[in-house]
Amino acid sequence: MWKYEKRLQYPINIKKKDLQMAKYLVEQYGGANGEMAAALRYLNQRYTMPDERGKALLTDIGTEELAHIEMICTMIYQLTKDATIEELKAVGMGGHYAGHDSSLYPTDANGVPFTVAYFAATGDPIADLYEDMAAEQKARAVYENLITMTDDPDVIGPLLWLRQREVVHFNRFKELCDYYKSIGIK
Amino acid sequence: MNNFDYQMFLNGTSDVLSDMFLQGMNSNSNNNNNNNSNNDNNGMSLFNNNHNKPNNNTNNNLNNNLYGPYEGFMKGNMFKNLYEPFRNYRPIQITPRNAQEEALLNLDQTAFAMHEINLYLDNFPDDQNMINQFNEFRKIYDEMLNSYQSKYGPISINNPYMTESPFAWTKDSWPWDRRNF
Repeated sequence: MWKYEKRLQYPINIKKKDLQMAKYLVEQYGGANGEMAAALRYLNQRYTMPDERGKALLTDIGTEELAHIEMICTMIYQLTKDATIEELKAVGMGGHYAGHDSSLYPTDANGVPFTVAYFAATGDPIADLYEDMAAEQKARAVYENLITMTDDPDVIGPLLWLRQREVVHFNRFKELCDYYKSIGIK
Repeated sequence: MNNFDYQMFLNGTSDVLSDMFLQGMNSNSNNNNNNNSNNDNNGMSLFNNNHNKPNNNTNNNLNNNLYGPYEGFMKGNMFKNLYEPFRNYRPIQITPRNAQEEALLNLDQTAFAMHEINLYLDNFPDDQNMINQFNEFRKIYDEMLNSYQSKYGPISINNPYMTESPFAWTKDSWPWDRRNF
């Protein structure tokens, strides 16, 4: 089970409205390499990890990804707060408004809805861990794209931080994968 | 572990430390040089939240690979051997605006340090030094959490400070609405 803590994993305090950046950021909410895909990928794969280390690591990283979903959503929410219909239409978010008003919705940056087809589960721990390592690298690359698309330090700070988490998670998955190979798990 | 430094860290929400913090705020430009001698050159001189510093530079006795909780939290990575900066970007400094934000920043840092060691121990469950380090942070976290919740409102649903009406869990603002910490 899970328990909620009434705080963000890292503080977010965005003072400047920026609908265009919000539209790009949603890529890491419901996009192919986003935080929702990450959380569901690890929390779904953990059941068939071959030992306690793998079950622990995928549970704990999957849980952290839930907190990253909350961070990305908080950023989108703060960047779009109090936007008018005209402002939304001006950045191509008229379609979003028609379907969702000001609520959040997990899509990629082009409005394509989230799908679990973004992740895999093979039952093979080595194959799954290589997918997890690749997912962390792809998410790191997307964060780097996003960081270069803004000059607002209130946005860059959390994005740099989330990018660094991808680096750490990649290394932890790699350690586990190398360990499994060293003890002969296929 | 250095008990004096941990006490400094624990007292981050006290009036004495708040005064230190306010002094720091008023003399940012002057106090950066005093506390950064042990840091690497990854932009730590930008961080003026200096009353967290004494702890940062001394709590690595058990493992030289760990950053202190403040520096590690700013970087998003407690492990020196894993840190990878992006181009010339530096971690953004976080400047608390009041005692509550200061207390929450301390709580966030300590929870992050615990979590980072948690992930490490998932892979290396036999590392007794890191288990000891985990438990040092856990003790601090428990005291910080209790102190925060007694003063500012609930973080966890399991806390002893929600006895009055209206139920405190729903009363305080939610994290995405705070536009602060």
